[in-house]
Amino acid sequence: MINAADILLKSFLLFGFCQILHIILWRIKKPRIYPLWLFNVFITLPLCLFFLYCALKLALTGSTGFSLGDWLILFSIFLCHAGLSGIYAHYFPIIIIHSPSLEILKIVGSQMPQGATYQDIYNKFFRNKQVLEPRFNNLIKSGVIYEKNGMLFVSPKGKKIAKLGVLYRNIVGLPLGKG
Amino acid sequence: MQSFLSILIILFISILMIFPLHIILNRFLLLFNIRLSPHTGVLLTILAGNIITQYAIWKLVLLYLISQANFVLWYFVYSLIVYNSFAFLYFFFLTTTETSIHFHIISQIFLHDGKISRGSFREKYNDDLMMQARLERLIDLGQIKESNNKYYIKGKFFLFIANVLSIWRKFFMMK
Repeated sequence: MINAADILLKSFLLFGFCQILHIILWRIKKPRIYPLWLFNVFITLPLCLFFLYCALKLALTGSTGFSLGDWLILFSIFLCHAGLSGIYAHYFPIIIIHSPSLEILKIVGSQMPQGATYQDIYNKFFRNKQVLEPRFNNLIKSGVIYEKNGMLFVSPKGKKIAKLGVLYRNIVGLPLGKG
Repeated sequence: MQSFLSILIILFISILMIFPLHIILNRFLLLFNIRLSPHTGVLLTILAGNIITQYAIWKLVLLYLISQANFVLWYFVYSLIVYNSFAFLYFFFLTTTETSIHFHIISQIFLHDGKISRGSFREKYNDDLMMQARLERLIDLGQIKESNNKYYIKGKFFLFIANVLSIWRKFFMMK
């Protein structure tokens, strides 16, 4: 019988390995397009290493040495790793760019038990903080939006993103989010 | 091997069913005029999905392996982790369309293509609006409460995540 504890252990080890590798690479050089970078470190790299190993073994011994059960185990390990990596990839922007909601929580948390007023929160996070500008610049740099004669336009790439989001919310039956 | 393959198939179907389940639940809530925040709606979907998935795995696979309790336990843990990691990926997709400032900028410019400038956008979507939306959302999610014009921590879960992420930032040498 397949041992799920073993699969879980190996999934977490693989995830941990990618995590450490990600931190090391980030410390050496911060990537420009980090979502692609994350995908490469957590998904492409382990897959490439694994297929390289298979190709080498196949060339040397004439067989990968994996039974059907082994492939199933390998797939299960990768599935769990992919799920964990997906969650991490989504949290990563919050790590590198401050999330206003989490910052509000930390400000309120630091003011307990007396509580925080609206002004306390505003002064500590929003005042003198450029929340919109870095995001505008980020989107222009990524080619999602552009400025022409002082007006803002969405590029074809941006249109696809916006249409997908609007369509998704229409299907589910939700109004457009407040941001 | 067969029992584990069955679990993987059930998990695969369950993950694909998250989106339809969310649509059904949300339409049902709209039909009966029940108002829940989008986050609460998707969390309820995930909870319902968990119950259905684990019940199916129990009924179709684990019940026949009951004599091997150790295997049953780890199969259960594995399915729980895999299902919830993909379910939370879906949750994050909804969150992106709901709270992401990036997505809000893109969708608003898309709706007013070429008719809005940076300045007018800043006026329309100002700091007060951004803060109000977030305070309302945190109250809806039970993370803070308002009393006598002051805000207090109510739930500790998101605060815990915020503190963990603050520690994590240090690994990436971010301020």
